Amino acid sequence: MMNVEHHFPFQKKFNRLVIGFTTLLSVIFIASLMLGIIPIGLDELFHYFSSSDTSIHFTISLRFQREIIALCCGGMLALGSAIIQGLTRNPMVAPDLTGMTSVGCLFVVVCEMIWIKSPVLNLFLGVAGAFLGFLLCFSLTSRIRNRLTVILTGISISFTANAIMQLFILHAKEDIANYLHFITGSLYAVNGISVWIVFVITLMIVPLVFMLGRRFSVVSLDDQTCYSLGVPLQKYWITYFFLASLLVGTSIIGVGHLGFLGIISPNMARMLIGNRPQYIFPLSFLIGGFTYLLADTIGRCIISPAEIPAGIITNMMSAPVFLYILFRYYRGQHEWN
Amino acid sequence: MNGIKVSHLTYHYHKKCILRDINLLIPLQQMICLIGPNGSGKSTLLKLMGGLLSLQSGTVTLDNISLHSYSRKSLAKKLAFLPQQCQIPPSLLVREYVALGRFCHQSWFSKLSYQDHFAIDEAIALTGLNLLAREPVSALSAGQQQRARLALMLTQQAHYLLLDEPMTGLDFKQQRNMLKLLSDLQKNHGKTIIVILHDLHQVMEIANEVVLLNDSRILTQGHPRDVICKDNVLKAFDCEYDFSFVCV
Repeated sequence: MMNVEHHFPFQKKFNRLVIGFTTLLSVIFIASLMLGIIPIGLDELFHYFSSSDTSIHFTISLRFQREIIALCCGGMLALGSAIIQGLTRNPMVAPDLTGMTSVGCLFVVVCEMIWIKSPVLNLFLGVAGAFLGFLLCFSLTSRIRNRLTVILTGISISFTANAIMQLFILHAKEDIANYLHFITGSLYAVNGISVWIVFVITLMIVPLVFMLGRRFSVVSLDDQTCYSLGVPLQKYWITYFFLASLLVGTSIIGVGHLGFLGIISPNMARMLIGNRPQYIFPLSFLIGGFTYLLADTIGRCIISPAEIPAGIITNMMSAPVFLYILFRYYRGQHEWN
Repeated sequence: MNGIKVSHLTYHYHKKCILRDINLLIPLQQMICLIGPNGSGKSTLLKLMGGLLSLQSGTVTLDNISLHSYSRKSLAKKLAFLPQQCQIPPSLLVREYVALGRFCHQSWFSKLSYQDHFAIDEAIALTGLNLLAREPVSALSAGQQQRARLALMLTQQAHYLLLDEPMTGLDFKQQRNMLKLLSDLQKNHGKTIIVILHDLHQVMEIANEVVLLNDSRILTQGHPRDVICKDNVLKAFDCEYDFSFVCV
């Protein structure tokens, strides 16, 4: 029997990292269930099914839904971002910097305001928006495509879509608070159906993407080498880009517009384990989910009973990390120099 | 008949003619060298034969089947191509890098099988990278990186090997090793090799057949001794060359 681990020493490191992050995630998940306006003890948590206190039941199930959606959406956004960074071989690309999230949010908001509110329709619109946003960004830069033009074009698309969305929200007939999470990325407006949609899509798509990660490694080589190794690049682009749009679009209906989280999670994973997509995908998911859950918990508890939207907290936490990655990149220590 | 057959191939790039009515037959298990001055269309011809560029007019057949009716994957199983320049992913270890060459033999969800590991080991051993297999590719010297790229190509286990200037960046000893490796692959492993070389001595040493390109056409083609002579070199390269010390 061949000792495969000997040949691929990073598998061990990856296993350790996954165990570490999963443990952290479980701890923060349980802690987050207990913390809040109504503190819940560990014993009450364990006796959830046997206790008859309906107020505790209600609080726990509400927090549980919220945490599931934070975990899934944060993770999916990070995973989608890892895919498009790999496809474009550009570490500074992220769903919010290519117009994916903004156009998706715009579609959802406009539809909710002028037509109907339906989580299922929102899912389709979110995915279509993510798809179109990126397509627009890439078709506009088809002539002069370098790392900077893609990002700058994406940012301008993002700003335009955000501006239109804000205009709609400010002139809304009903309560502005219903739409606020599309600007800041928060979890006030979580409802039961969205939780189910997000959860089911996570269960279906995320394992698929993890399994495809192994095949994705070859895309990190240059185009010509890919062709000579027999990679049908066009097919790959379409498949993976569709998966990324699905992930980002789904995360939009759960949490709205999240900022820096998309760009930093894959880069942190890349710093930890090198540019190996089969390991980066799961790690990005875990880091994204963990960061968003942590941000939501902090936002919920720090000035309770008021709340700070989790999107604002993640942006605050991510900005220094983003700067660090940027400096590393310009000092030439980054993978893709 | 098996082999690569190029007929009436013409190729334009930005309205400039790169190749004009090329007809060429590559028989099996031979070492064919493409030579010619810079810009004579050698690399373009090689890329067209390797399926890296799409044909504009003319046909290329590989084992009697037109090149464009192969899928990328099935083409990669038959034919491996070493590009002139390629980026090397810095963080990958040599073995991980070489393992990517097994792409065309795997399906969407499969892991590396026993055969895959065997092919990787063989390619690493052939290129003499055994001791470096667990080093990151970025830590290797230019010559070692070139060998890693060759190993990546050999892992495909393709019958046809197309190499675009494999000697770039190699020192004298490495060039000798590369020549030895190429002729070993041809003689003992039965591969068909098409290689672009610039050093005429090396061409004389290893080639079974030489194709001399000049000004988008094939000037002459045949046994190295017949092709590489004063007249042809003067015609193609526009310079004098003393062949008296070239041992054949």
